[in-house]
Amino acid sequence: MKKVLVIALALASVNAFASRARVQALGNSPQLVDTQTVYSNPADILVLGDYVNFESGTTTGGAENANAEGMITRSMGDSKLGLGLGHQYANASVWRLRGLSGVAGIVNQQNPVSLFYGVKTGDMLIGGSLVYSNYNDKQAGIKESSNGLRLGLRTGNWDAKLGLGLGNNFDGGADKFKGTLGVSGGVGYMMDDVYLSGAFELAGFKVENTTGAEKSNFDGSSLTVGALKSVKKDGNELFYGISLVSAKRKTSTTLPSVTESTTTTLALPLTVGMEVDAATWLTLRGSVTQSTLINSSKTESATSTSAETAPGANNTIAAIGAGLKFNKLTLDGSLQGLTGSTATQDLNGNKLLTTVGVTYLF
Amino acid sequence: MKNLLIIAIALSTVNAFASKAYYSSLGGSIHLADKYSPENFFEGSEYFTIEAGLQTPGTLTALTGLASTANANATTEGQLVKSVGEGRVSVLLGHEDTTIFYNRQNSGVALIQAQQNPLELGYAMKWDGFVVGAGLIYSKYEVKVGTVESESSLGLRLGISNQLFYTAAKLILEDKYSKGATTYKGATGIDLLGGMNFGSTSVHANIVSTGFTVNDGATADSKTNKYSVNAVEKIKKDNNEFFYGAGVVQSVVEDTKLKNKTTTLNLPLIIGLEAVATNWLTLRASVSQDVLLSDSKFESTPVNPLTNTNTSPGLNSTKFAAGAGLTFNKVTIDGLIATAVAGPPAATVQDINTNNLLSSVAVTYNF
Repeated sequence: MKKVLVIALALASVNAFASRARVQALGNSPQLVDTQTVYSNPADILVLGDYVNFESGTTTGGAENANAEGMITRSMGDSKLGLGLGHQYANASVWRLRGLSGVAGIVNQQNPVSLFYGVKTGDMLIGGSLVYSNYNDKQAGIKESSNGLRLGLRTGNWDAKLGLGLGNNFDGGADKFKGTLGVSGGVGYMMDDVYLSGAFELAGFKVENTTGAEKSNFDGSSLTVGALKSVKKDGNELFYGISLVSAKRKTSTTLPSVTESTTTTLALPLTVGMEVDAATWLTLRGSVTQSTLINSSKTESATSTSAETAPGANNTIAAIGAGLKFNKLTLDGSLQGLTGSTATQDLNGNKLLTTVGVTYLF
Repeated sequence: MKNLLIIAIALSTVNAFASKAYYSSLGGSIHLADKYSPENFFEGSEYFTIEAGLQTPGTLTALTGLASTANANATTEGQLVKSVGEGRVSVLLGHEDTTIFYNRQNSGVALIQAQQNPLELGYAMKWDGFVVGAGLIYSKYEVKVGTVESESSLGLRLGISNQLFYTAAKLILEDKYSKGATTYKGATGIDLLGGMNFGSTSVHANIVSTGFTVNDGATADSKTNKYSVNAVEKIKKDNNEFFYGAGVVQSVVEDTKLKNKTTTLNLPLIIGLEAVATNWLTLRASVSQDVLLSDSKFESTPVNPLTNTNTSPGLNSTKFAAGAGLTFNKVTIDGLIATAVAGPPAATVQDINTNNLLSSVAVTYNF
């Protein structure tokens, strides 16, 4: 039990702030524990205290990180329950793949709901979550549904997560999108101040026409291994790490003509990030990521190579964010204009905070 | 008596901001006291609130049949609640009644006017542990020269409450608009709301019955019935309030002349928070979404597959809203954190900057 507390304190020392903007500003670094990481590793729900989180965004857009969402957690003895509304799940069956399908009128998850349960067992934190979304336009014959399961574990210096995308379907009346069983997983180990991690993802889909004939299918896989060093001092954190990312995407089309395309990528991204208490009420954070030395991509068909870069073009991404703390309430945001691949260099009154999130820790 | 005072102070500490921005940032949760209803005139101290907004709420209907995005909350208004003897009087200027506003908006009458210079007068008094009150809703506008145009409305509010329960009724007795040969007439509208408190949990029920008829060559005879039951759990800690709730909402809108019918059934969840950030700053946020039940069906007779709709469940309905209240002694300034960030009707972007910092701003002076 003591170990669990020590882990929780160590992870949470700089993490009084927790939101989507924070995770983005820190480059989605794998060692983070945050309200957003609870969606990928439900055991993280036990590391954070009880909280309610609100993320600004659109109702109808539904794009990941641009939609409105919220989450509430409540402790019940050694266990904890959570409810998430509106979170667009980067689930194992990866709803994002719907955008690659080319199916007319395809929509993402609609009104997704996530239910969480976590329990402390000795020195082990165990969590699980169920994901569900459903939409049915009976008049137009358009349907969307998704469901999945996430499991997470934290014990000692270890953490592990597993995601199963059990359902990912869209029926546009004409063409149907059917996601295949998706599996994602990851494992991490904190060795002193170095965090070693590995993750994989398998996902795919096929598109069928009204007669049930397959028009196209897609298979994607990725594998990531990385090491990251975290230096904590005076409540501030500096981290830097490197990872090797290998991914493969294969698209086959059978109707109206037979084509096949396979894209393989291999990259060695280097990430440097920081989260610093500038004042008792202000935390500044930022990160920069860029592929170094290895940054290759190749797209080929059965007969020819259509694109190949080795190494590839610029992919440096910087992200800067700020968190304002008022007692138990935090307000996080990315510094608008200084984040993402199209960032400018301005910070002024017209470009202050974006991707704003509010979190209250009970 | 002391206990009652302590309870009253505890209830009012966080909720000292009664403004449209306050309601909107907390998702309009049904457990929030409706400041327009007379049984709530004794909530907190006497006050005077000025709400920023438009003099006219925009065009309710641009052309026949086209929907409008005009918002009843977008108009300017002011409310004075002042003690007179043992009771309290409320004078409310400029408040667009939502029943009348949205009936006229949904009528499809081209360029129909909303209430003009609406006035609400109310009075409430304490009686044997209860607060009882009544109010009057009134507006009138008339163009006598050229194309004759007029609108008028008349309504009545009644309310009673004590520590355990409340009941409020709004009756729309007259709702008329005419321009040339076009006439719009609202049906007698009834809006009944009641609730009970069980410690930190409260349950609420709402019944709305309204409608309108239109005669402008084409005709409409629409009737709306809406029923909802909600439960909300409030948790107060360190002067902060957090709440979550769920409800079932059913509505039926039927037009016997246009021969169409819209039915909806929803199960909205809401989570909200009001936290005292500093002694001068209160932050609020909420998120709401339909879960499991989000059904909507539009049927016309004869069946028209081009206009009929039937979604079960429906599209995304997740709404985020956030706001802030600034306190300067007895003056408070409330606002939504940017129109773009917070609804209603729906958020569009996620930014806070000097161009969209506070919107729906209200200034309240608590005597």
